[in-house]
Amino acid sequence: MHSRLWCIPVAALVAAAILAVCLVAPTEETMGDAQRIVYIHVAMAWLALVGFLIVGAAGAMYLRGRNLLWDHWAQAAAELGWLCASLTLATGSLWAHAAWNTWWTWDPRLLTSFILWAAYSGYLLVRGSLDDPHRRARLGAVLAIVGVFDVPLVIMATRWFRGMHPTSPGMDPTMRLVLWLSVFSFTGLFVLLLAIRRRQLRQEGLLADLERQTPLEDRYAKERTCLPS
Amino acid sequence: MSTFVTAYLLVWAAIFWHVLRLVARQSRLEQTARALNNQVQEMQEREEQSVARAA
Repeated sequence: MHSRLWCIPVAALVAAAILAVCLVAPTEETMGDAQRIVYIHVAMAWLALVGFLIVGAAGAMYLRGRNLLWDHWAQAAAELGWLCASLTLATGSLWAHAAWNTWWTWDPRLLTSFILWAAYSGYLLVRGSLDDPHRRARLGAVLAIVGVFDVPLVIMATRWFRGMHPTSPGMDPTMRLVLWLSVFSFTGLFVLLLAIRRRQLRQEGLLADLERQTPLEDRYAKERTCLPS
Repeated sequence: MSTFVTAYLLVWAAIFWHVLRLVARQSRLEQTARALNNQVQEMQEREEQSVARAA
């Protein structure tokens, strides 16, 4: 119910960001319109990092109290974070082709971002292969806590190692404003989708519990009545 | 322009796909909840009938 109320302001923010990116942001002299990718690339990269921090923090909270509600936050954040990490790599690759004339290069920032994407993928694959909710949550939490160490590496890669990826280039004030608006609106969308998915996972958990509690005898009786005579 | 448009369409297609999956899951969830609810109602009715018969 609360999530639905948030849909309208988030949609308005996202629409404003799209309009600002297309109409307000000035065209960059060297790269032209291809530079506008920055407005989505940076937002996706930021959310991929935030997503993994949420997964790690929720994993740590689960290990502390063994409460599956934390695991729901972790799973919801991992699914969205994986999407953002994939889109970071995809939009970055498109931009790299326009700027460096190559789709991919083993630059430190690109490499650490790829590791983050692999950590997300591994996390989701491991979770998907386990049926027991607590085992899944425990193993997922350990993986997430290990993976969190990649987050500072991604952030600091351009400062600690020499590479092609820019650190934080100087920007026109209008461009910076549009970038902030884009990051803010995508963050709003992320939070909204995260809250909806988290609630869904909680409902799934409750339903699974209820199904387990339904007397087996009754279920068998129901199945027998459904069989053709 | 085409690089930027490709990137933008890609991002929105992916978000749309994620939202569609959310909606599909929600609909499955509601279906399961309804089935379970019907099952519980049937159980209650049967229990009431057996109590009435015993009385």
